[in-house]
Amino acid sequence: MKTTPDERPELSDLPDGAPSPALELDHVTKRFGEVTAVDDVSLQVARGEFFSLLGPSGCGKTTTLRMLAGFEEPTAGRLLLDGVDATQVPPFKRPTNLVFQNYALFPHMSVYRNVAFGPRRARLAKPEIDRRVREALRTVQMDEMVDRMPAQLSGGQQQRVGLARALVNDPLVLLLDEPLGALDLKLRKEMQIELKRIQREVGISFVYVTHDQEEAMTMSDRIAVMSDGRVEQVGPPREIYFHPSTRFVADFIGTANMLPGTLERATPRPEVRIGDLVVAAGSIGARSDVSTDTGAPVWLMLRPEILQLHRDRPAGDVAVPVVVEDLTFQGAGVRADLRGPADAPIVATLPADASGWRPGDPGFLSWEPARGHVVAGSA
Amino acid sequence: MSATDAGAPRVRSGTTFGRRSAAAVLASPVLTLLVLFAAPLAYLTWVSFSEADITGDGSFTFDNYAEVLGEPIYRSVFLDTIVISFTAMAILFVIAFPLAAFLAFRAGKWEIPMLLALVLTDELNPLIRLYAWQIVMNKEGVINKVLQGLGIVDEPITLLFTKTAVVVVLATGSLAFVVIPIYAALKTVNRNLIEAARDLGASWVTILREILLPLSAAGFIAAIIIVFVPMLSDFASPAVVGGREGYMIASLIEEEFNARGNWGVGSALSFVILAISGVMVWVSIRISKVGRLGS
Repeated sequence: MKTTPDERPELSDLPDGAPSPALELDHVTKRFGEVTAVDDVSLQVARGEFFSLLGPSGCGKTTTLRMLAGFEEPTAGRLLLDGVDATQVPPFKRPTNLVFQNYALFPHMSVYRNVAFGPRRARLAKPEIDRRVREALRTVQMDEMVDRMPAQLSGGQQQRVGLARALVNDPLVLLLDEPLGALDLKLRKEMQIELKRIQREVGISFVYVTHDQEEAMTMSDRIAVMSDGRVEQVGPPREIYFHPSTRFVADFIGTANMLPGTLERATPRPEVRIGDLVVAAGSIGARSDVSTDTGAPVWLMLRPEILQLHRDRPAGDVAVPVVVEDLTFQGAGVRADLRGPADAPIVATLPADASGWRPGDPGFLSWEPARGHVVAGSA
Repeated sequence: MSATDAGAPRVRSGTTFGRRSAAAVLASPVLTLLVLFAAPLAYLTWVSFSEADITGDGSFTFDNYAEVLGEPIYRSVFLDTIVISFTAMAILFVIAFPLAAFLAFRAGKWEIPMLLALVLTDELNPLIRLYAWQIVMNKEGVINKVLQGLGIVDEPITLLFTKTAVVVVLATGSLAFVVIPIYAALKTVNRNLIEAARDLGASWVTILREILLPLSAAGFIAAIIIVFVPMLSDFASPAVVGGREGYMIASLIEEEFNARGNWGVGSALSFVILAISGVMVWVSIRISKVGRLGS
């Protein structure tokens, strides 16, 4: 595909009834010498979707993004933009634009000239450039600062300009490389809401790289959790949180109590044997290469907020004896650190008005079995 | 509390000591500047406004400047000097910028060895290098032998004792001092800026023009001050390879002082070349500022 930024295929050019995804990675692998940074990754990002690549540092998410931008070439596999193979297309000819963690604004150019850089390369007419630049700056609420130099702006303002500089080109996909990583917590929270608003307003697909699971949960339509160059799971935040398919995802997203056991049966309703106890669960998640036969090692995942703490043994099948170790008031709730059978540490979130518990108190844990989730695989 | 009490006097005595030692440290450069630069310059100024040729009585006069600025022979040597220096500097920039960019962005593990090699070539004694050039550019020299051997020319061409010879020698003599400031300036350019420009649709030519050149302007200014200004007043190169044709102002100044004993004109020539240097530096700084702020 030979396109310059100003002659991209428009949506209307596509045949009807065949809405190809904005972006598709088809078995993409990237090796740097001996190191495999990205290992056989396949993903699809829909038009107008807010898609996050989430994972710890070194998981391959930034390399994936750089391949999307064209700064790295895949060792194997294909990259499709708008249904067309773009694997070999250089960055300056791709309908993608990148927002950098360190903003990367041109320090010798005003806000206006920074934002106008892309449209000028596309050789648009002067009035058209002006219209676009002002519109992009209005979108990010920086239209009052057109004549400032980057050094005169705060970090948050600089990133708004960085965003405008990318958005002004009306890309097919906007790529964001931890854009809020350099901001302080409060500003980061504000910018998350702001980014989501902007994304909805412009309707462009966002591919957002972050290591902050909370950030990914807040903003994304879908999340791909990555680890060691592989995609562990792709899904909406709710699904990733409640139905993780691997131990890694369960641990990486939020707080998870993982009780080791063996699978009693997987269908129609999963049941797990933990010691002498057989516990029913609501769902099971497993990677295709992991056994879900009877007797296979599994984890029972219990999120802290599904747990209830009782003084007396509650009625029902599930009642795990525990000892209270520590209680931490957290505003919206109380975090209770408990010790379960075989000294297993368990975290439960109690209502904020749960008073009267003291460290050392014995009690019983219960939960609604359907809210438990089984993750197949051993440690 | 006790820590504060114990600390206070130490801070006070430290300040006194600091002032004294600062004065002591500053004294040596200030004295050096006064004795070795300001005083001779003042003397030269006085000489340039005096009747200071062999028959002169040392009385005040503007004649030296009138002669230097008015006589066609001087003007043509000034012009030659400027043309030779400009050409050499332009050639240096054309060679140095790609080299500096390569060192800053692409050399990888060879970055430091290559820098060292560059500096080492400059450590070679300039006189040895000059005479080496004389041999190379001779009618019997390597260049002519190769050209004749390849059948490009029949008769040996005249290289030595031309303006070209001086330009070649000047342009090859200070490469390190042009490369290093530009390299240092480029080294501070964030790689992400280049990627951002690529991402926004910029070709390499655009990146060069819009990003790299403006952001390395300080390196070019430094190179002009370190290399171009001394080039304007270079004496050895025109003397050894310039001959009659590749004559520069410094040769003229030497002639006025040593051969003709006209200290007045020699001093006036020195000040004119100093003024030209100053203007060059000022103009280049102006250009770089305009480049940075212009839209």
